[in-house]
Amino acid sequence: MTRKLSKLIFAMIAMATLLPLAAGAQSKVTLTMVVPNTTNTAAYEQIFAAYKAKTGVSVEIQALPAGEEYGRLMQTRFATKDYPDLFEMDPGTKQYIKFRADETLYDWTDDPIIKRIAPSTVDFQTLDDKIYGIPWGSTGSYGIYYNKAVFKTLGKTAPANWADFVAIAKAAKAAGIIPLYEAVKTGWPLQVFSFAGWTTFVDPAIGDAGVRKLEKNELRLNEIPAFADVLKRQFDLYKAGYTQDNVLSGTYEEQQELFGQGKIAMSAQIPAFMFALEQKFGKQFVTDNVGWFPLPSDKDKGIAMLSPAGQILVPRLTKNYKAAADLVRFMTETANVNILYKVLPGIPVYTEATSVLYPAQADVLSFVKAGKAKINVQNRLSSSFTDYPKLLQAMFIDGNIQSVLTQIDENYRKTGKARLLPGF
Amino acid sequence: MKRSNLPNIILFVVCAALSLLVLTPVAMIAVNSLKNSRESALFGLNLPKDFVWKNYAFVLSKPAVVRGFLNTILIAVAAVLVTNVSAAMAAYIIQRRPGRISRAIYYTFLLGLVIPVSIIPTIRLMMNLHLHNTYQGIILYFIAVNLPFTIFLFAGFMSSVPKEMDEAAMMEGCGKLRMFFQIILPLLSTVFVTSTIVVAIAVWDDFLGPFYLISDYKKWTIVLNIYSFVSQYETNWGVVFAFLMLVMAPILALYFALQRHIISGVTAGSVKG
Amino acid sequence: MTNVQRQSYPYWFLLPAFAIFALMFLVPTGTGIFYSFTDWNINTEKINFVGLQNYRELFTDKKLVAALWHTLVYAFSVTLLRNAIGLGLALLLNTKVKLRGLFRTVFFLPYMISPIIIGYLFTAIYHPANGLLNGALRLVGLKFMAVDWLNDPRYALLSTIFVDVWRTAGFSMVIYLAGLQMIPTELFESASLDGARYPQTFRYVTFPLIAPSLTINLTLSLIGTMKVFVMILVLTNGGPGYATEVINTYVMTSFSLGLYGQGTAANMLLTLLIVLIGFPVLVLLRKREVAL
Repeated sequence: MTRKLSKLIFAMIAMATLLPLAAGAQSKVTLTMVVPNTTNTAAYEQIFAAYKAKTGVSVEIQALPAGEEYGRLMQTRFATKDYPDLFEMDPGTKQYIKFRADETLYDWTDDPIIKRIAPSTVDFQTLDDKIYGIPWGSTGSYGIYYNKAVFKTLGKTAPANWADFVAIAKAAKAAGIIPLYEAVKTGWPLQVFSFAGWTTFVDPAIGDAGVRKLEKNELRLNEIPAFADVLKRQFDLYKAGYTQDNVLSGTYEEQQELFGQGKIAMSAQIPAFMFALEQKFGKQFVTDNVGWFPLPSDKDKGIAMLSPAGQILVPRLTKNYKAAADLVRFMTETANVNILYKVLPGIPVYTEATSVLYPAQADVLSFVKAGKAKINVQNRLSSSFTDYPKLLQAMFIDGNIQSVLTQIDENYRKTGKARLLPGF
Repeated sequence: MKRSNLPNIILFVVCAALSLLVLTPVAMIAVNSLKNSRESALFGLNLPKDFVWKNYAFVLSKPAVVRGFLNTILIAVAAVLVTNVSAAMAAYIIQRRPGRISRAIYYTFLLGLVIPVSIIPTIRLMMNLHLHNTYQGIILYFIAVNLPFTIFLFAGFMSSVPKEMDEAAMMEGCGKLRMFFQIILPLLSTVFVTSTIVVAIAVWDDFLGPFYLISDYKKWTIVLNIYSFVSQYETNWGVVFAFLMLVMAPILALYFALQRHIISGVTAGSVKG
Repeated sequence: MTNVQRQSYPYWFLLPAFAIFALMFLVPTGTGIFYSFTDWNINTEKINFVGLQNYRELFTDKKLVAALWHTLVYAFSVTLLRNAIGLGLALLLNTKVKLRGLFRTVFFLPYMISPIIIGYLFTAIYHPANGLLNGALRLVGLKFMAVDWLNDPRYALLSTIFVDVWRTAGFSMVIYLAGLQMIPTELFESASLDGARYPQTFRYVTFPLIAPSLTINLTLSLIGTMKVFVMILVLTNGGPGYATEVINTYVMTSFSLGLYGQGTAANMLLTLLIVLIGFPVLVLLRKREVAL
């Protein structure tokens, strides 16, 4: 027994010593790109294959858990100087602050790529005249994605105001269809409704000035009645039985499945929902059956909430940083961004790129063109709504909106303080 | 004779029913690992409509599985070796040379059985020592957290090794290191088996340590690879179950092959105290 | 002890083990005590001493108080249940039942599966619509009991407790079994000659002799379960809301926010809790063991 065991152990040691040698044998450059695990990597894979064919450099994609944890993991890696060669991040300049861009990130300000990006996006990615993040992806929207076939049988169209919206929910319920589903547990846990509601209800109430005050910690989140109102509307829909029964356990997977089967009328979701539906139910389904509208206000159709394209950041303290920057230049060549928009259609951020939009995305674009759109408030603030999904779950459990707001406010200020933001 | 039959049958039925409680969940993983994403989400115990072997091919096409296994084996082997040898040496002195110093050190080690690791300061320490994200760092961590129990185990066993052995060896003029390694260590082989099993299981299962201490995914142990994989593919239970099967199967095979050693190893460690 | 002997048991033999242990365990614990009184966080280069502020903030945080409470409920419930069931299984297998070797192997099996795998396995089993548990309940006509185990705040903690009991009852069982098998059969025989019935035999013969197994089982279980982390992380992530938050998930949240000082302080509270509960239990049980 012991002899066998020791033989086994020796075999393992031998293997363990050979392992690094084997790894060292492939001396060609391999770049590592880190993405959140909710990312659809199909476009990356195609583009990276083309890059390998052209340069011999291969790129490995590493997916890390998405959400708050993703940001924390990346920050910890920066703190320990364990930089990936390049990585994807939520949009906006607050990421520059998070990662101390001026010390750690590759500066793209004067790069030719910038000239090919839509000016509004360039503005959005500029802080103190510097650009460190290259936008990647498309402008999309958090909002209500609805099943057109279901709406047709209900005899409904996209709502013109809040009362309409509630009437649709009522009709769906009467027909035995889940009126509104928001995934709570996985993927995009419980936050879409209220962030989409922010542009319709809160922005008009507090104005840009109000958001600037929030940025400087001069306005308290729990003292904005319009924000409390959004949460109350969500809670009231639940109380009225207009959300899925298992309001605390709805999963992304179940949401896709039931939506595809026509058992859900409306889903509070992000743009990636359409790509997931396409994988499960085919392109035709998404083209024919998926529509989109923003949360309507009491008077009109409401204001679309825009989620800007994500960004790619290149740490400049790695030995491969030049190769990584080259890769980004390659990725943003028109042929390659067209691959991106072919796999994941959306409103392009590259001026020369073309994309065939899904009808739901065309719906979003019509709001943008009418000037009825605003960027997600999360991307306009440097601090964060930390632990937001869990706090919203707590709201569903005890129905105490004011207490939830107080905690959202506390977390917001705590995070701002920890990030050493001015005013906190 | 006849009278005692009925109770035995009842007991057998009870045991069989309880076994089902253990085996059904395991069986559920097995059959669902071969179903497509929509069928596997129903978690049924029925056999798959079509056997989707592709699930396994898909999981194996990701480098995570093999790399995770190799990392875990490398870390476990190193941790087991160093823990065993250093614990045996320490326990030898603690048992053979009683006194205030030995006792103080022994009790200090035993503290580690109770007190949880202060994980965030450990990260900082690792960074200061430039051990963060290295194999050496995580191996040292595992040695440190497993030493208390191993020393406890060895110290308990050491008392059953007759002291005359050392004395005889000393007479022959053996050096102390040679004496320890040639005479004493071989006598401890049964404890080595026990502590190897206990430490290997601890390294294999531990999530907290690697979760906080290794951010470089290329050095992740299998447990972290499971965590990352599942959060990425949670909408497809078929491939998730396939991954879980791939991790579970070798361990369970090893368990069935060595179960007597494993069970007695685990209990020996616990009951001795 | 002669000089020669002293030389052959040199203290430096203690060094390798002690050096690693001191460096990797004692140093972080010691510095941890210090950091728990500082404002250390991800964005500060300079660490400032802030006195009791972290602890004060922790105790005014409802989430932490809930986490403390859940940790205690979890630890005591799992300990109680897994020992009751483990002892039951051990007594069952200490009879002449057929195939008991095989049953022992099967009952111990869950302990060999990584907790993280068991966590994912049970998210499937507890699934409200398709999970095996609710399927079985509906099958036997207990439809009203088919609740949403992990996502209903009333049952979530209980459900996580059951998973850990499922995983570890077999472990407690083998320890009891080892204790039981050390009891000489003559003791039982003489007891039954005395006309003692099973409860009495158990009370006066079996129980005192398995007392050491009980001690080790209870202390191991209490200490281990108070450190629970991955099981909760995978099953509920502390949710829904904060219904299953335990200290280790709280520490993780603090860490995610970059609040290292606060996270370390919460970790210290866990240490304190384990020491305050673990040691007295151990002492108490040891005393009773001797008295029996």
